[in-house]
Amino acid sequence: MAKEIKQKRLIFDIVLVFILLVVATAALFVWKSLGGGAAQKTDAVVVVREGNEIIAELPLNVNIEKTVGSGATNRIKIEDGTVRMISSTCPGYQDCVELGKISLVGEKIVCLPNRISVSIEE
Amino acid sequence: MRVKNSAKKLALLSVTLALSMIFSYVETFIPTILPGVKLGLANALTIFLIYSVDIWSGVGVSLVRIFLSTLLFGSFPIGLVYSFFGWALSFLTMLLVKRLTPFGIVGVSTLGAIMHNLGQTLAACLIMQSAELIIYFLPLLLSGTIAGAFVGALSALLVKKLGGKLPHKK
Repeated sequence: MAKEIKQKRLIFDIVLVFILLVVATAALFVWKSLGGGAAQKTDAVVVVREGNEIIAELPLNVNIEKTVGSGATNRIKIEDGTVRMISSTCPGYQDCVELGKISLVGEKIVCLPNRISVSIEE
Repeated sequence: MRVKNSAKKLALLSVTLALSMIFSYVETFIPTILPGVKLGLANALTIFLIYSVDIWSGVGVSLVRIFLSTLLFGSFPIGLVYSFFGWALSFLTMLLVKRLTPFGIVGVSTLGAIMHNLGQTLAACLIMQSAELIIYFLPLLLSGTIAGAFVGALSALLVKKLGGKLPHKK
């Protein structure tokens, strides 16, 4: 009896995971189509925000290194059409630095602890 | 909880907490493609506690774990907000799914993992004051499903192999 219930649960679980995988794959494609994989544009702008406020707008095709943010700061580097966070004052994992380069319109680097985001926009 | 065995239970919960801290720590070495993508190994121990000991042990150990691991390996004050949002949504979901649905451990873990990601994305939206960040939930749905199913299988193994042998039950 208990074994039967267990087997039933396993089947339910497998079906659930399968359905979720299908939905999630679809979601991934939606995300890509919304900007996760947009075409590279040379005249794109690098927009830096602190919270919701735009604190800098830089052209993607001009190489520059710049420190942004008030108080807690991040150093960003624009080089050959790519942007990356080269350092951050945030403690811990430093996801933003680890993430590496972005180069496509719609891509974004977010430093959650410092509330600073860098995105490439048209 | 029977008072007679409280020392054994305390020891069991301490060992579980220590192990979940190690899992959290080890995961910081795994590079991520996207922030938020992670295995969530420590959750296997939370699920193990919910199934083999009791709900409150699961609540206690996982809450202390997120506090300590954010303090030790994370970005302390703000990281705790993310951890807590993820934890709250995930834990609540896991309890409800366990109680109210026919799903087993893998289902509980997978839905918990997805809700953890949703909770953290929502926390990000709140802290960054930007609703559009919610879009990051889309790719996390896939990683959450895969990681959750894997951790669920691991939890099922833990419950099966160790669940009946816990000292505090003897």
